[in-house]
Amino acid sequence: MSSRPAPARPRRGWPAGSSPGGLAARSPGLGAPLLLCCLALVPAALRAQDSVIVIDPNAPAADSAALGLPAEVVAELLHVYNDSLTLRLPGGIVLPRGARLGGTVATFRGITRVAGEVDGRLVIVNGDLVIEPGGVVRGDILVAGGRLRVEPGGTHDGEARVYWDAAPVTRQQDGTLAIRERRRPIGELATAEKTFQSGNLGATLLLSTGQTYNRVEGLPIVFGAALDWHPSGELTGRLDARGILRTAGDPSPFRRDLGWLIRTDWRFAPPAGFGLGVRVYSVIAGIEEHTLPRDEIGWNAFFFHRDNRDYFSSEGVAGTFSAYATRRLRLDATLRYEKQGSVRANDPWSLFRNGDAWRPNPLIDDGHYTIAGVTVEYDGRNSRDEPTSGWWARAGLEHASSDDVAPVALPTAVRRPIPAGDYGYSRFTLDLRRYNRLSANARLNVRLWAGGWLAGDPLPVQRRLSLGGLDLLPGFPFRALTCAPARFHDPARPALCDRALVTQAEFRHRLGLRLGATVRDRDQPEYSRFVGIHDAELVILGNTGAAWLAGDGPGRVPSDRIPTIGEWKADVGIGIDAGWIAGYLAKAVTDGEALRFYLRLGRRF
Amino acid sequence: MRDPVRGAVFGLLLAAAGVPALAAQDAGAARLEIALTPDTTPTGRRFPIVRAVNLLGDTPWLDALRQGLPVRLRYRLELWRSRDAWLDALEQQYEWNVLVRHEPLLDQFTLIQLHRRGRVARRLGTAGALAEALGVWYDIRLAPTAPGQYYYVASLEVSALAESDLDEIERVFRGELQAVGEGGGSLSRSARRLVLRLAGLPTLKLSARSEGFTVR
Repeated sequence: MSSRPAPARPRRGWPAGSSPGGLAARSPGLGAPLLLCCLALVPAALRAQDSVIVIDPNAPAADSAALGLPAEVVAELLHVYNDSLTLRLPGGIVLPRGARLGGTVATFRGITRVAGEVDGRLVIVNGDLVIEPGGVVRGDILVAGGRLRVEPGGTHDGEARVYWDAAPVTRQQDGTLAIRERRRPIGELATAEKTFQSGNLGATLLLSTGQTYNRVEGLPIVFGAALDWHPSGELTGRLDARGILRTAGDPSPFRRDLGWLIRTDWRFAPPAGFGLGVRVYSVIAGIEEHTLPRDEIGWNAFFFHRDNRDYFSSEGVAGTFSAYATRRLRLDATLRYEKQGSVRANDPWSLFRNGDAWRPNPLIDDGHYTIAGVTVEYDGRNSRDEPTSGWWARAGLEHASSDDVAPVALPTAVRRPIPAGDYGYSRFTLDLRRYNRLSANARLNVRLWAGGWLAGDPLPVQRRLSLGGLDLLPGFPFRALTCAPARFHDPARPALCDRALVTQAEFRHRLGLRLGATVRDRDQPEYSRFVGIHDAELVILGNTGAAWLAGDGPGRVPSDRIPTIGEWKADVGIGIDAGWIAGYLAKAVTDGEALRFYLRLGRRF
Repeated sequence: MRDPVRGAVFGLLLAAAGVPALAAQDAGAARLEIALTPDTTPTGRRFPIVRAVNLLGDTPWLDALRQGLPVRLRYRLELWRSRDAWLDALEQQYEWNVLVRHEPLLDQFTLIQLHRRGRVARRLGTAGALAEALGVWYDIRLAPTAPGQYYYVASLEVSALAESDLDEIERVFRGELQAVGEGGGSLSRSARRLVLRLAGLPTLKLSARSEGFTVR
């Protein structure tokens, strides 16, 4: 990025209505062509201004830079302002029509309005200058840390230099100016209460509630410290130690009140290159984490007493190797040894339905597991937050083994008994998304999610799947498809399927919607604000999928097959997505489910 | 989160019916402009130049800044190739950010331009200077190399941030590792977002498309 901090090009006899940043003052229809003409015909003139910033994406990486007033300009300001012959005026002054000032005039801060006449030099420090209709300035103008506007009917005859960058000066008790010690900009000086930066080392103290809200932990309080080391562009290191205080009381011995997550990560030669990481942890992990995001799970639990996720305790140690072939392609290989255990639902408070009982948290197959996993992620989207085109894919493969698993008793129709001594399974997941921009305002996005058992012994409960609910099949109730036998009743409604496959499609059309009102401040128009929904999208969606038990036997689908299309569930829906909140109506088309309305706090995928 | 359906249906229909009338409001408000550099090369390559207009006029951003909320401007530029018989193809893209924060003691504004290859910070003396600085043209040296029909699409998203988000944005642009717990929205982050929106600070999204041009 090359920026031009030079002042607006000095001009004599500016026409009324122009400004040093003159391009910004042009009418919208003429601005671009005028700029082009200027660029083509008088490049020298424009390049002296600060109105164009050139960014070359292919240029070598540049160090951080802090632009500011040139030192000689600061010196000139001080010299002129502190000169005993200078008429120093406070900022915010209006020189009325008919009034006249002569000699050198200087103002500090505020907006100086000239409707009368100034014969002489005019210096504005950290303020704006407006020459109003009928106002005349005959002499050179220097504006530092502000802008100059010559309104129609106003006249300036002389040289003008305008710098938008603030002058690092302060006014002393005797009325003169002195250099103010420059504060570090915000990027270098992180928030005072949590981060301290010294050279390449940054230390962060954290106290946060930033995880989720659920029926096992309540509201986890996260606290701790992190060290970031950034010695060069080729190496980044981080050591992060956090404690997790679980606010929902649990008298059982199955869950600790205090969890932890200590990790160190090192990344070499970013953005490509590779990374290494080690972590030790005691956390509450989620089952089926590919469904709703954590924040939506948390809000649903907090407001409506509905926790759409199940949990288990996970304590262990893990090592990770990451390879970044490009910015878009990443591979992670992880080896973990952890103890997985059942935890019970507690009774955290919720805003509505607080008197209801929480859905029990299902038991899992407890044991010590050694888990090796590989994940490949490709991100070809044009944006992480609101993609409009490109592919995103993540494929994962996991193999786990245990020699002390304590299995939950499940009906044999769901799972044959698993060996207690030498247990092992393999599982895969695939999440594939494509974003298509059909026109400036229309998008068509599709998603395929598939996962489940791949080889070995049957899956443990904590790796099984289900369908139905807000995310994957919103036209169906939560856990509509769990693969539980007809006479099997478990109030926890655990997910018991071996495999699941879902496809989702949505058509989005930007509405240009502006639902709300502008609250205007009569005295200060710039304080007006719009309250409501701005720029929403109409969403038409359709989903179809199946979840099943794999293998041989009645009610199962052979391991090398997927269910016939007639066995799939499908729904359609319509909604309005305002980005930060969305409302949808969804209806199952393969079953007689009722029309469902739901809210989301982000994009579906 | 299931609620009575009838009201929701009514709400959706009302919203859809109200679109044309409401969309016409505030047509002269903030906007994004995009143009092409002159066709002076033998191949016909042309660079885009982009600027935002009137970002601080009749918008809540200056108010948000003075209330202590940093504001983020996220620009994205896309180079699209026109294809007659199929969907247009995205050839290249580039994103850069501008962060603005008010310095209350001095009544000045800190402006940081962030992109993948650099970071430029500056301090602006007044809201007027900030308005000028936010209205500069960005000349992006992004252009097609292969022959064909092309056009550019620029978009700008303006949003108020919580103070803690600033560090995160800078961290990402420095290519550093993700923080623990990142990857899904956190409760506190979505709560901040919710509060900011309810406080009347919507995310402003602007977009513009350039004229088409041909690379020979």
